[in-house]
Amino acid sequence: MNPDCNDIRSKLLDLVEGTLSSTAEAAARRHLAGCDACRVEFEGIEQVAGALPDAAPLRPPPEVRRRLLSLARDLLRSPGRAQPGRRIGGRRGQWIAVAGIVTGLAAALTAAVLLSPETRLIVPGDAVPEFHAIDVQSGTEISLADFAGEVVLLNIWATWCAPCEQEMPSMERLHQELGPKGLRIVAVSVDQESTHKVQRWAEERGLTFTILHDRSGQIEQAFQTTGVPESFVIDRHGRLLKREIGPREWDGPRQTELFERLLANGSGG
Amino acid sequence: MVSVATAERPQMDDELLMARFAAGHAEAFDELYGRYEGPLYGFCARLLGDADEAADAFQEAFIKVIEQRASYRAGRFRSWVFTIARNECLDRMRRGGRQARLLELHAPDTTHHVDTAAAIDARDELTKLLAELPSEQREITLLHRYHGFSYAEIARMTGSSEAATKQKAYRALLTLRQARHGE
Repeated sequence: MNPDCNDIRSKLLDLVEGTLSSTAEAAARRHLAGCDACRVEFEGIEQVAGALPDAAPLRPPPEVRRRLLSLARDLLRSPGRAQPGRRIGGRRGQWIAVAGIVTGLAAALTAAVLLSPETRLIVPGDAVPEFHAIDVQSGTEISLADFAGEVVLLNIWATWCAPCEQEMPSMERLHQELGPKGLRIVAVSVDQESTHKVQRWAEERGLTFTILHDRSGQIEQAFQTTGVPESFVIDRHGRLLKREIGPREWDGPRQTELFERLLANGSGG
Repeated sequence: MVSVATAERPQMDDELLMARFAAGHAEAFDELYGRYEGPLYGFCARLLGDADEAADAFQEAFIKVIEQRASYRAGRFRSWVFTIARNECLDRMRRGGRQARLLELHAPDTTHHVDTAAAIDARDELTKLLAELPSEQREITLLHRYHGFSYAEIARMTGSSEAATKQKAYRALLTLRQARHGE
């Protein structure tokens, strides 16, 4: 390596960011013109620096906002607890108390759930519960048993739910790709609206996989959903393999690979 | 975020908002929170690679802002609040003794206000590689590239020298380049 290389390389970051003086930049560029190793390194980091995407916006859960804005108000109302340098002992204490209550309630709920066979939470490996819903195309009642022996992506959604709508195109692409290989995508709307409205909604978006409608809330109870969208990957034996809360890119490589593996494996697992 | 004045209603700068909050005006805190919620949480999430941990670190950072409102010495609110958040994240990384992993931001609650940015991030090869950088290189890259801090500012925030900070930033770009080309 040319003895100048170490010196130049210590300046490459500044060169990429345009913070070198014009004289230093000219010297660096002269060196790069005559040194392949340094030029390759410079071009590499310049390319990476230029290709780093902008940060997509992220937000904390909404309850964090509520809690913090409310905490600020509480402390302003109770200046005694707001002395500088003092930890919010009250807050910690309150939270510990709240955590205790929540833990107690959770334990009670868990016990109740476990003691009640009808409401036991389903987990991967469990046989998924039966459900009935209306096929929006044919108007006939369909049950999970109709998909026996098939690999099923069961999605629970609603027309008013933006994240549900957001994941639908990826589900349609997955259907186009793996439907011919046997994957069944079954999206059950839990709208209180008419079945006709659900059907129109799906048609307007060009969705060609199976759309069902359950106004009764039965499927939500049976699958113990926490909201919409929520999805369940079910193997050929009717066992739950995976539960996904929130929207997903269903035609992403990881998901596609999982479904391909399930479809290729006759035993489904 | 840096305050940007609008033609309709000039925005107060962060220092003034913090002073008003310390003087008892809750709406000043609301405004500050609104300005920093996205950037600060995004920083925590990308540094920790875990939505729940990030929400906790972010929350603790803002609790410190609330607690320390009266003792805050006017300076650069932005650097101050990011430094607090960074320290909260590092505490969590040390306590957890784990490497930050790729962003897998699930809905951390049951209300399903899922931010799709994680999915967008995950699709981008470089962002994935960024999440795999050693934490020292990652934090500098995040602070400089995503949040616009200068290397001198980052050096002050992290208790390092500007030269060492730039060296880590350079190493981060080299690592990204090598990882990208599978070297």
